[in-house]
Amino acid sequence: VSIGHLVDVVLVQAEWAVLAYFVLVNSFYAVLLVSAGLELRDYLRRIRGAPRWRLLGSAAAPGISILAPAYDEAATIEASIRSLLSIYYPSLEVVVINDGSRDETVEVLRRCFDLVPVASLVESTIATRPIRQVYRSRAHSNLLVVDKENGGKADALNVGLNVATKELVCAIDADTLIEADALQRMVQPFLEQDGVVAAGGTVRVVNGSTALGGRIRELRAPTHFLPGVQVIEYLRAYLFGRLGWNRLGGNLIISGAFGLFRRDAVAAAGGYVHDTVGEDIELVVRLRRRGVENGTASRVAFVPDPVAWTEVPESIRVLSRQRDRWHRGLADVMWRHRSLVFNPKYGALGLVVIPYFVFVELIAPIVEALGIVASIAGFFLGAINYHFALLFFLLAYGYGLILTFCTLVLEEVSFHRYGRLRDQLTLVGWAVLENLGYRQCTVVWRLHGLVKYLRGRKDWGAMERRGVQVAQVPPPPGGSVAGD
Amino acid sequence: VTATQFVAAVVRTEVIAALLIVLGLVQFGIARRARLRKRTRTRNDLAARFTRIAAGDALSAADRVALASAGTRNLTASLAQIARSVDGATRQRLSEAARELGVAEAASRELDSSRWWIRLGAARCLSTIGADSEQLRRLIADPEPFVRAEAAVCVAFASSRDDAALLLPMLTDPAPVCRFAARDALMRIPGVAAPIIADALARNEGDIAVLLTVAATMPSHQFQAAALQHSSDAPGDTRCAAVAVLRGIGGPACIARLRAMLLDDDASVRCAAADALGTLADWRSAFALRRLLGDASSDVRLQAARALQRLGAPGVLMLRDAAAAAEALPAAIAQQALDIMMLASANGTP
Repeated sequence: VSIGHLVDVVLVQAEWAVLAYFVLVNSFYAVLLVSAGLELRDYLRRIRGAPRWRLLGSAAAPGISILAPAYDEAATIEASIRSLLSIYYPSLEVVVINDGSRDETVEVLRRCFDLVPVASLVESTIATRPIRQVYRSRAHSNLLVVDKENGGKADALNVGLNVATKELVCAIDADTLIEADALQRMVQPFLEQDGVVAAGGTVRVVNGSTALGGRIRELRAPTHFLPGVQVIEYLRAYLFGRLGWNRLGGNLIISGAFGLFRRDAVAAAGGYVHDTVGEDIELVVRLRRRGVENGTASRVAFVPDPVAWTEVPESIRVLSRQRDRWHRGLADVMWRHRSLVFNPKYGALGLVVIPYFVFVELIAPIVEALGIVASIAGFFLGAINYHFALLFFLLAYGYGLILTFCTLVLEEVSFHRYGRLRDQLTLVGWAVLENLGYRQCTVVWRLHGLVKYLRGRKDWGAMERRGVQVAQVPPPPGGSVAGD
Repeated sequence: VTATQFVAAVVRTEVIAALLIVLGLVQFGIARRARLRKRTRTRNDLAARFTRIAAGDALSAADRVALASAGTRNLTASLAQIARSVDGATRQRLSEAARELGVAEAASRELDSSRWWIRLGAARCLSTIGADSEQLRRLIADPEPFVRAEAAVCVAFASSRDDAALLLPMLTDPAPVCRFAARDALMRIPGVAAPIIADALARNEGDIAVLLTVAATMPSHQFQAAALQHSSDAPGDTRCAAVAVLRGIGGPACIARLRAMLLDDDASVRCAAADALGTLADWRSAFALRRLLGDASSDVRLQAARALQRLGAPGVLMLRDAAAAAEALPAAIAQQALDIMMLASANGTP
């Protein structure tokens, strides 16, 4: 047996393994798509004609504390907090946690919101870095500012959990744009089902659109490649991935940019963990795990409405760091909760959900990379049937494209946010281009994340933002209009 | 058929499917825009007509023709748009117009549908224009929780005592959406709901803790007797709910009872009682709260310190006394409360 023959055999076997993986994963995607379609249909039937304004005047609505961690955000903090204070919700408390900023974040807050120190005995349900001072606003009685020593985002959120007084807490990123009625939509799962411990909503991409006063004014599909393909990724992740899992009861991810949690459940679980870059997914897995272990319902619900908007990276450098971090976070969480994999004690969570995240989400870049390397090697060694390989590439590409197009159809028949035909066609264009180069880049970035995780790296990396385009409006007589 | 031929056929199918989806997407988008434009025009016209009717104009022949041809869904949406911001006689005029146009009759027919979403649409229509007692009973008996919840919305607008009484069993409905809707509806009509809840409490009917929780949002002396009774001989959650009612009512009898509840066996009840006395700023409770600074439960100690902070000078005196005491637990929490008060004062608390 020659070495060349052996290489051929290995390559052929590798290709078969990749093919089997391809069929398995894509079959599951098809199940998710159907599940998402059914879930969306039921959801739309449920909300048709339902006036959300009723909740606004309700004394029975559960109170919500928004937790907004801030670190060196003196330049943008005023606009962000004004936007949060203008959210329509009847029982709302905004808790800003200054995580030991080195700039003038606290001074800006004191000046803009007329803060005064308050004698507040804070219950330390979760251990955190020390609090320096608690302030309350005289201009907005529902605004509380906590100045604490630096300890990272997870520590800041834990302080927020200790200080918050409402039944539900909403963890957000300070730079997320939130829809004015987002909380009215997000709170619905807590009112409709027993045992809901957390709810996430759809986060969408704001790049290319214009905003005013912290709200989206004109939504446009991005005209640049990187944000454009990320719009497609976000639509697919939320509108078919998480929505599909919602029906199957397997939601495991709530975006750190915007999530609503039952405060007592999070506090009982010990709050956010510090030593991971995937603290949002870790918390959700822990909440679900505790639910099974304690024999209590611990549902994680997903609201398909677009409720929050985030700016995605526009440079390859920043995007690669973000994807690398996300994958490190996923790897870390799966490792921490490895005892759940195929553990029948945890039911569907252990037998389906966690294995899916391990064998599809986590190792996908390894398998994809293996396929690419084997194809290239086969090409040079002449071990490939070119006609078949080309057809197989078209098959995989076509299937992915159809899934993405179906997601665009789901968006069009449901929320219809991209109102202009031109925007929809732009999105179709990005969907066609996404698999040609971009997807292969994400494979490399995620592999890099895995390697860094194995080496024990836990840093976040810096996020650069260009800022959302601000709508130009003439200032009112004698005053000015604050943009975002 | 070889594997290559099979894959080639699949790829051809995919190309056709992808093209069809994109074409469908474009076609759907164009049709949707046209439909939206038409619907907006129709609903604006209907809203203008309903606004005139709400203002007191009679239903003219032209209105009748326009409204009758608009379709039930458009009528309901336009009615809802106007009805949400009006009440009383104005709302009544809108309801009568809707009934005259046959909207209520159509909705009533749809309540018999086997599809829950059709019944839900009908229920939402009835909650906009008002449901009669028979329709209300059908809504409450519906197997779909969302439809039952709409019954509560109808009651919140109708404000009749008999209808409101129908909601009491819904407070313990297995579906949370119904429990929330019933609680919300009763809280919106305290004048009608309070006597019904007081009667139920007096007769010990239903879930007492839930009834007391709703009662706490509409403070009234009607609940005093029941709250006093259930504050001593009931399970912990009921006693906590009774504390909330007593706090809302205030007065010597309630305060005396709250003070007695500082010695309750259940820590959550002691917490609630301490918080209530702090809220009521009852300085006579300062000694009792001072004792709680040494409670075995950290939650109770914290709540007692917070309550003392709110009592003003008598509270500070008690905190100083506890801080100087030999016992470690009360001294720690009292010193912490005093430090924070000092810090806030030094930083400019008014």
